[in-house]
Amino acid sequence: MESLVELRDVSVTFKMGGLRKRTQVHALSDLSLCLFEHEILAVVGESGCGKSTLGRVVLGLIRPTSGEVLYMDENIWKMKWKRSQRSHSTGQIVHQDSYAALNPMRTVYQTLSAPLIHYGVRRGKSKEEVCNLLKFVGVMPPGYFLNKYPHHLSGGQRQRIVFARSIIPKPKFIVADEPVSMIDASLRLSILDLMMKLNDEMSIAFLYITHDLATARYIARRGRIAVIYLGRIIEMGKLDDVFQRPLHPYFQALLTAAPIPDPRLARKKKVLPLKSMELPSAENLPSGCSFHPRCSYAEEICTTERPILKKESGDHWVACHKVGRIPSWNHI
Amino acid sequence: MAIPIITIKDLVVEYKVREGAIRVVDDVSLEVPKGRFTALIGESGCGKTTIVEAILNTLPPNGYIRKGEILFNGKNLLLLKEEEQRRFRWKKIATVFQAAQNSLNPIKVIGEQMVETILDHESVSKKEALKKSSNLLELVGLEPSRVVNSYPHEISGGMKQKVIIATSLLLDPEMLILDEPTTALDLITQFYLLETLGKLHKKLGITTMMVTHDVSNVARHADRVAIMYAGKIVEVGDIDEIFYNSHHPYTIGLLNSIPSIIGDLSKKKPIPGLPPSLLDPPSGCRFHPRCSYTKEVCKNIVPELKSIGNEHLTACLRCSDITTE
Repeated sequence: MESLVELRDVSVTFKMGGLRKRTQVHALSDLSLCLFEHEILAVVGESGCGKSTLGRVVLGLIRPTSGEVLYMDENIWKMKWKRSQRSHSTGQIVHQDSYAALNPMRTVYQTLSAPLIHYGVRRGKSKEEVCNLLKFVGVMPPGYFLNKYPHHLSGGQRQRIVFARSIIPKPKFIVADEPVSMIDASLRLSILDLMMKLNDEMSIAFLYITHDLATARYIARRGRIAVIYLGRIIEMGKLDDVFQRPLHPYFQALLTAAPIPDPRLARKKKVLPLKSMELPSAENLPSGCSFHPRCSYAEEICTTERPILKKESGDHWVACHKVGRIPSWNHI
Repeated sequence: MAIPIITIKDLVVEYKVREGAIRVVDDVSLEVPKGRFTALIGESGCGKTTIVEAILNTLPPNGYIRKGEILFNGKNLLLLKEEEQRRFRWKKIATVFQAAQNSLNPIKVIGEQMVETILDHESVSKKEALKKSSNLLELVGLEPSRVVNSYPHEISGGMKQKVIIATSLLLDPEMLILDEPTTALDLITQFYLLETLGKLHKKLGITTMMVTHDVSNVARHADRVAIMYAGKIVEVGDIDEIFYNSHHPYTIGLLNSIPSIIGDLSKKKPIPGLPPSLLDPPSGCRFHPRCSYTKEVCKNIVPELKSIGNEHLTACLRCSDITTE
């Protein structure tokens, strides 16, 4: 598989505060990651862990404080302007709030025909093309929706329109940042299914950013997952491997905390073996392994030395000093 | 069956909007059994929060109760006077609303806010009130010495939510209603908060009702479940009955559409179609346009909640043909 976007030791630091007290927030620290062609990579983490920043770095919307972002082996921040423009149009983003992403004053037809015409569809054929696009993303019957405004549509339909718009430039990849968290439970799967269809039929790679382990498992079942904690990847690999044999204590804790829609199993769950439920502040990261203040297996070395992401087996990477020496994890 | 603490009879709630009146809660009857943990589950806009607001009589200005009764321990709440209602809330039923962590007063320390609440409703000394506050903070798993003198911005979102829960228990209410208590909280914080709620329910024996859109959230702690769809309650029963022996196609479809971190994913599928607009709900059974069991009769007759044994009620005309398998 060819690498599409590669991040090499990327750090992003945001400057915060006013005139008197200035602080730095470390959103991402020395993060390396590859998004391959045609794959689905799920990025999971709690709020404030830097997962959305990661998505924006991948798209070239944020310039990293240090490190390199390569698109097809070329540093996007050193490209000539025109080339970099073109490379930007090969990646698209879909946000959580579809209502905010669409212009409330434009009909579905207006929203979709403008970019279609920009990308070379003749004006006379634009209506037909918009209909085809709507059919493709499952907004049926297309004719009925052409003259609707965003507020006429349900959340699921709006998100489909956003996806339809995002595939017009024929992107190589889409960064989907929590695309289903505002959608009704009974319809969530249908949006995830749409993303899998785009991945299948148009070979679009997806960076699926979420805090929801269950949807990550659903969409990336044939893909990979990266777990982020305070700006660093702590576990990464094929989704099946990582879910079947979670190795990092933080990911084990996340799995324990994830609710299961099955009362008999849910009641048997063990309580989390965590020392603290507080997420440390990203302004003042703990020394050594940033998880050590909460980790119940932490030793001396964890407080002083930062663990690096190491290959455990096959394509399974973990950043933990005590990997292999902590109890294996079970759902119940 | 335990004695009901709340009995809702044929409740109809409407909102006045530009297009006319929307019937958000349509002919709902529900019993909330005393001493148990009931979950009210439904998707956004199905009317679940409106039911809570109707119980507390805190409907928004354009909302009104068209007909029906809400009995609390046999007493009709809709006949109470304004002042009686104010006394009733919190003292009898305490509520924790969605994103309640933002309802703390930012310029007062936590201890002061809690003491103030007790003193407003009961005649005790300040010292006793403070003692009670500390005990409750401890009960929800916080360190009173640290929290009592903190301002809300000095503690985390999860801690704030716990403070709110402790505060809700200040007046020894008989019932606790929680409306989406874990939205906007992180996974791990959410787990601890639900653990705390489960523990409180067991320890104090307090009747708990949790309103949520997320089935997974209540699987561990709830013991009774009511499922709502488009303004109506479609199924009520003990949690295992609902999860493993449901006779309503919507419940089955909903449970089938929730991805999980374990188990087979290949059988998961979304419910086809869209939830209906309440301005113009479908005739007959409101789920019939999306239901794979629909027959002609479903389009004409509105199904009523009927008992099918084991304290399990279902509103489906074809419930005898429908099983979880």
